[in-house]
Amino acid sequence: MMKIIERTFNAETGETIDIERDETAAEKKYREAKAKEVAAELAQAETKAAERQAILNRLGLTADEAKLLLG
Amino acid sequence: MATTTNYSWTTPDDTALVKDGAAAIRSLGTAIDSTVFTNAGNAVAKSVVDAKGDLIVGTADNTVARLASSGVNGEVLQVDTSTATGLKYGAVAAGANWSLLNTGGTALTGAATITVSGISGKDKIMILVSDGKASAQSEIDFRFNGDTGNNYSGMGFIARGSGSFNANNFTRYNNSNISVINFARQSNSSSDVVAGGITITGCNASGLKAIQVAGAAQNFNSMDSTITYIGQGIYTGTSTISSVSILSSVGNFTAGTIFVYTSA
Repeated sequence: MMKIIERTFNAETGETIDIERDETAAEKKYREAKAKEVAAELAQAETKAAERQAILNRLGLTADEAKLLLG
Repeated sequence: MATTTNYSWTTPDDTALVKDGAAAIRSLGTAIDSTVFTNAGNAVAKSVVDAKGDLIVGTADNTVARLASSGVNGEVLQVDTSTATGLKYGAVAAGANWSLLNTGGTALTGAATITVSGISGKDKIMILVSDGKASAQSEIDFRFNGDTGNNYSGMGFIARGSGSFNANNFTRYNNSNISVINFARQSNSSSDVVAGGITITGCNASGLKAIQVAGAAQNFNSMDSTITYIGQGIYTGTSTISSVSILSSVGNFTAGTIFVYTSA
């Protein structure tokens, strides 16, 4: 179980309190969902980049040349 | 016939033989009398004012009146059509007068949730995040009053990491009834920073709290996880806001400062 540290600064009293607790199920779910979202985004970006590179290879162009051509 | 320089009163020439001195003097006297009478009628009498700070103001065509100073330091002259003079003295309407609640800011280190509490009686809260760092790909969010309920909604646009401009990297988000206000997402590197600001209004009442978010995350390299949220939203919690929390979804914050400003 992942531990979460919560730090609270009370601006009225100037007191700082740290509490260490277990990650809640909701927090775990949120963290994992976000991680999955990031992984999917990065995988999609990698796939796109690979497809782009494959096209460039077929055309025998560098990325800079393609940019110049399309610009 | 000679005349005086300013009012052209008729006077005898130097070479004139004064045959009728009395008539000449009477003529000059009448001219002076007439001019002085006219000028006096057009002048504003200094007796209109009575005290230090008094102003002479017009109340109608060719009519003046005294406007007494309020005697209150800092007050300014204002238009008020309901008064006799059309003017009044009054205090300058107060604008948002922000003051830093957590003097020097609160360090973003050593915890995944960092809360600034002790907020009371303030309608507006503005939070600035400076050079915040958390673990790579950590989602940075906000909560109020430690409320983990689905009482937050936000919409706006997301700017994603990209090595070059691509319209697809700007998308909308519309998150209704979730448990946080989205702010930014740390890049693939824990060395990069997140920053930006969030404002909340209506904090001292039971109604909806309006939120504006302008997050920012460093590093827009291609295939990076970076996200910034630029948008607005609401918080439906009915309690007045007494604390604000910034959350890292992955690991503790390792650097940065959060400044919390409040205004009546």
